[in-house]
Amino acid sequence: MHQGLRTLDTLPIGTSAVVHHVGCDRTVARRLMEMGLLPGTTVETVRRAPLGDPLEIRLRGYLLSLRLADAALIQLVPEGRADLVDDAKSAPTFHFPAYLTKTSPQTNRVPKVLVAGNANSGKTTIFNALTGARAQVSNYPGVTVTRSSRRITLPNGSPVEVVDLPGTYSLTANSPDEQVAVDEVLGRRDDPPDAVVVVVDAGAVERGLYLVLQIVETGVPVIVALNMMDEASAGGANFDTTRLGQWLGAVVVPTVASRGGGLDELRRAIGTAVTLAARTDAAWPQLPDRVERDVATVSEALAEAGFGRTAAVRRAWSLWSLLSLETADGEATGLPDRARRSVQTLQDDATLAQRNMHQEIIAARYEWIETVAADVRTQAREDTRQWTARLDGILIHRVYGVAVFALVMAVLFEALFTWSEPLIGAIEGATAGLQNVVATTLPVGVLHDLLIDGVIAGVGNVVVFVPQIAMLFFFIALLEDLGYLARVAFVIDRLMGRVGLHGKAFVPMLSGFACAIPAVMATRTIESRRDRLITMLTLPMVSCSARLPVYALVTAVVFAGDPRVFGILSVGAVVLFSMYTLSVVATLGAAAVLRRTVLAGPRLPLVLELPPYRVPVWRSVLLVTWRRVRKFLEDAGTIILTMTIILWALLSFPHSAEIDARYDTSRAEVLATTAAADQEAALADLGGRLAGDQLQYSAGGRMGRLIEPVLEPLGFDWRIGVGILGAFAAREVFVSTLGIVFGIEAADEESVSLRSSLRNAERADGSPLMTPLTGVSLMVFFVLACQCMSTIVVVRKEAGGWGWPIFMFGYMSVLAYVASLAVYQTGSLLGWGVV
Amino acid sequence: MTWQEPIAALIVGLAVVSLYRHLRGLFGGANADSQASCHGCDDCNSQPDPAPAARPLPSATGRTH
Repeated sequence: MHQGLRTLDTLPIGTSAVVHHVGCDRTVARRLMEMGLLPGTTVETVRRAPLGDPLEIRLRGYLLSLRLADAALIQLVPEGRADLVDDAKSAPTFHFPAYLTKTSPQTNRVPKVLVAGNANSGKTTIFNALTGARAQVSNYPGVTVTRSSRRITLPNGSPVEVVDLPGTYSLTANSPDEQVAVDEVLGRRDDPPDAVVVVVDAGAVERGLYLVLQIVETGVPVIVALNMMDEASAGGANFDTTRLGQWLGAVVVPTVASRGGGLDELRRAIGTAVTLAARTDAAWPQLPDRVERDVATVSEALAEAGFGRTAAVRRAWSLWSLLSLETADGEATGLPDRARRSVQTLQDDATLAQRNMHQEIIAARYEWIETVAADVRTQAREDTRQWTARLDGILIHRVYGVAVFALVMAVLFEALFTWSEPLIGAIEGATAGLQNVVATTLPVGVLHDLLIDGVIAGVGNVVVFVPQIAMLFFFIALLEDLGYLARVAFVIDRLMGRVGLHGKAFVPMLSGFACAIPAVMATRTIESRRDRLITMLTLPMVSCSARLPVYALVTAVVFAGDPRVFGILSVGAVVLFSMYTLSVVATLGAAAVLRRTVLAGPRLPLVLELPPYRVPVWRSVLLVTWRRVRKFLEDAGTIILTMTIILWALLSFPHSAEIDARYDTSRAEVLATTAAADQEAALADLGGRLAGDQLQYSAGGRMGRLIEPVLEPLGFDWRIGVGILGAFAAREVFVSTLGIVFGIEAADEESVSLRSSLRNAERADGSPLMTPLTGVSLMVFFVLACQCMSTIVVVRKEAGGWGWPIFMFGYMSVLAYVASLAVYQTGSLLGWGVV
Repeated sequence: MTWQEPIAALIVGLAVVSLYRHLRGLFGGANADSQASCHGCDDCNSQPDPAPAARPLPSATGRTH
């Protein structure tokens, strides 16, 4: 190594140096350079994760997380020895010309406006504010993975279609979500856009301008929304937006999207932009001569093939293909054969000549960007905001960080188990009250039974868990918005890496705590198909919200009233936490096995941006909470209600006249032989046994009895078996099924809560049905089993076939059975939790 | 037969039809590009992207997903 050089992984924490060479794998090097980590860039090491890896660095005003293995390939020189860097600077002075007013005749087509930008720059917040949509936003990158669109009317009365795109750092697509964004900007899918709003984080303006420059080069009218201006101002930075607009030949609108600042101006700017004609020649002439020659060669090939509407578009495509096209891409690119061959020849020639074409193009762009940024930005005073650094000093500390995490988890699960109790009790009371009202209003009959024992008992017992669902999502949304959860990803990355999960798998896993469907879709941020598959196939083990009612019911039945752990935490809260921990451990374990067996392969590097801590946007937090509660209630009113009615019918019919006749005889005997004072109790007992026998005679009862021998070794009887069968439609149906079963069994008794019924439930031999051991075995089964048809379907769609979802269903079912069996049999042998 | 029985039968019948439609929508949709139930994440407002496998595009890794 050259004297004075060192690698980034060896740079002491808290010191700065200048990048000399980015020697990572070609793809990673290009990604890093496009994010601004180029020869000549000053970087500062901030900290290492508590487990030693990854490394957090600061560059160009933002924080980036890199694994040590990749950092070891980045060579540095001391800050004072920038002369060692081969970074010949010119003095770029090119200003883009302003767009011309559209002269072509107006069409009836509604103009299309794209909202593009780096991940976590506030695109979706702006999209929501412009359109009134409620797309999910969070304080970490990679939340938007698909395009969303809405039609709005501008202040001048004209309609436009606004399209929100997934975040991207450049027009080089590294992952499926970025491909969506790149295709839209380049107009590969349908009509090209009429204008593009590029959202730029004012705190990381150089990185944002890289994407702006690429989009401006295509000739399309651009509006730059310089967002988070409040944070930049608080940091002492001022921007001359008029001057920035002059450099770009475009309108620059300062915005604070989270508070609605600048949006009126943005709407007006959009109204003007869609009336402008695209530049036909947006040649940005300051690339190195040899790159310009390559660009001209490819542009010529494109023009001869009749590809591209204008010289600007052809030039943009030429640059894109020289930078992004790989030999293996083949015909799938949509580029004409001749142009593709031309690009390959030029790339091969560059390799032979030991030229780094990626670096030549990216460095030239950044050179221009640095000139522009230095011209338009002034640092009025030193940035005194140290909150992110101070908080990270605690929250990512190897001791304090773990303590804070434990505290956060303790509060969350104690709230779920204990604080929600009064609200749950109130809903239970309301459910029982409703049953009594129906019972006194309707005469005895089939409809009476259907409403009381089926609909109200089934759906009511699911709805009681609304307070817990709301609390869970309120906490998750709050932690997301604060920026805390992105730190958890940073902390556990080494662990995730060891088991074979990509660092970016954390965000989908996090979504999985809400629901596996968006989580599976969120895997689109992962570049490699193998890594995507590993994440998709293990995600359904992360405890989604549909499992919470099951855990909550079981813990309330078998662990309520136990002494507190350390005198602080209730046992139920600890058990709940254990189930969530088990789900994470099982997910990581399954990933480790898949990585080493059916999906063996190398692990891709991690490049993860760490967002700054932010004050939560309460509207967003409450919106996420409400959305989950609404969805839970919608499910309760649709699929759960449907299943409840069908299961009630299956558990009520056929009805045996012979059993009725037998009990009629017994009832007559009781009336004839029992003292008047004891008759009521004896008749109630008879009624209960009659209902139990009819239940077993029903179609549902017979199904339960049929599978009982298979489930008995796990500690479950046929009633739980019926619940498990119903849960394959939706997990919450387990709770409603038990509500029906025990509602029917309770027969003429007064309405009691399902929790009370379960506590008193007995097996055929008179032993209690729900022991702590049975409860744990049941919860373990629900943690591991794949009981969600929607998830299977979405995995099929994302994986491109039925093979992988069938494999997933199979291995999770076997795992759930074996784990539950092991828990129950081991516990029984050792005598743990059997009473 | 009491007046309650036909009403209960109608409700159960509607539930069966509803379940059938739910399953048909779920599995029928899986073969096309339509979205699976998105569970309230507001991706429901998103327009479905062509499945990545159906329209391979250039990627940095040199492979199509």
